[in-house]
Amino acid sequence: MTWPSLPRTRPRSAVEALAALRETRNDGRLRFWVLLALPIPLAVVALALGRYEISPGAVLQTLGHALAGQPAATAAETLVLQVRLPRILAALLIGAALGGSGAAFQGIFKNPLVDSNILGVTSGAGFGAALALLLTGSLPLASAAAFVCGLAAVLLAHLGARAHGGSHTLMLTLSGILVGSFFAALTSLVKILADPLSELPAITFWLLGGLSDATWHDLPLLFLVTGLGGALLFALRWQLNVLSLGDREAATLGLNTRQMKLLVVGVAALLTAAAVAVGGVIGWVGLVIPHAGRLLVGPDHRRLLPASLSLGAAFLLVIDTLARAALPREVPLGVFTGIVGVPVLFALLRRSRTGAGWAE
Amino acid sequence: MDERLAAIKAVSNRTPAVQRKRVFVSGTSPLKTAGKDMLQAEMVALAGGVNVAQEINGYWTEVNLEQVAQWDPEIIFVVPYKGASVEAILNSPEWANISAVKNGQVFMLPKYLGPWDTPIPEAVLGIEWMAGKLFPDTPLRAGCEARTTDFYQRFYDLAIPAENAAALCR
Repeated sequence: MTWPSLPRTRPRSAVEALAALRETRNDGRLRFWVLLALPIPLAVVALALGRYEISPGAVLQTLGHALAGQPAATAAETLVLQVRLPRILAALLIGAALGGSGAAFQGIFKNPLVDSNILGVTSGAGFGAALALLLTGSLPLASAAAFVCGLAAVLLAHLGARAHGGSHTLMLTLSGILVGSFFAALTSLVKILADPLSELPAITFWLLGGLSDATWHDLPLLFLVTGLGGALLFALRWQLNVLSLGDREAATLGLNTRQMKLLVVGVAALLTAAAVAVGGVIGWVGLVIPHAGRLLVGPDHRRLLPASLSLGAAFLLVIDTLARAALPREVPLGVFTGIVGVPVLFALLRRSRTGAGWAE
Repeated sequence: MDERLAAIKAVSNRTPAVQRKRVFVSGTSPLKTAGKDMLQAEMVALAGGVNVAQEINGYWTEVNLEQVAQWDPEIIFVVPYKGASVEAILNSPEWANISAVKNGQVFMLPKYLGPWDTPIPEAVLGIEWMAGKLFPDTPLRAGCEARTTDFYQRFYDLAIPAENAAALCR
């Protein structure tokens, strides 16, 4: 299987490959900008949706009151300001973090099956949170533990690959899978030890992802990490293009592939860990959003990366709105990401005549 | 047991179904509530309240604040174990405009030997305690100390100090 970012006619040199990427750039400019702006109208609509009926006019009025510095006076105002707004912002940030890091990981590993969990970030974070829930039952502690363990897992994967000699992509992948399985096994152990009536449901819910506990307290750190990480990945979009050609080609173009890869992996892992720390393990977004982005704007990372950030944000917002508004009970996000995402992706695949760019 | 439940019924039957207080049972985390199949749901019904989460099939269920606001419970019972806390609900800005929070009607169930909301003999005391909170101006509230002392004496052969009984009934 060839890497999707390669144009269909195999280029003879890396320079030609980049030139081919540049050619794909000019068509569909409008679509690109529409994609980038998509989360904004969605967020406005989501603010007016929920179990508790609040008219769009009342939502706007509440926002006006809040901007004027008045505290929430009614249950509806509290809901808009203290429940919906932080939750919508969290969904946008987490979606962007997962979509962006997924695109970066797929670019680095030159593999369309890679997602944010490739280096064990998610498994590590899942274990950290499960352990914290088992020992203390405290959600803020679970978040912190998830963040730390997620990054520890990546570090472990990196060290494992280094011990074998070099930052070879294949070794890094293997090492990541090993670390991921290790933490997955530890998570199972924690689940077995957990009290089936109180701790186990909390752990299970956390492992499927959900934003019902998202409050304003979660946002500053998430915003900081996602903002910085997203900006850094965006700044590296050229280098990602070069890296996606392959190590040797990238080196001939004068890139320090080793350093660059470490940097990108580090940033993407940080993004994922922050997302998991707040929202739990939300599968699927990091895998499929980059594919959807590639179908819509092409394989050039200069457009794919911003598109993945934006598409991830929009997608998770839609999913989370469903999760909080569809049923009286809170539904884990992992349930809807698949139910909604798979048909959407199939529809995209059907529409794209080029066979999604990965022929052969 | 039957006698004591009959005493509660005698009081609660005076309140028509539509006027019964809406109760939210909060579990080990504030937004986890007892669905239709939980013992706590049954206890609320026996005590003469209406469990707001009765429409949800199943046991402990995660809900969100919008749903709680939609239900707008008049009284919230918090379980007495595993990190559950009344303060977590009373002090969080998200809960501020729920009726029960506005009126200070958030109570933690007592526990003595075992938590009063679990399937142990104390569940009887739990039901009576809930009824006391639901109908505060009746003998259901006033008789709590005597009933508690009698219960532990009769079933556990345990004389509990008067101040303990008072604390449990607060």
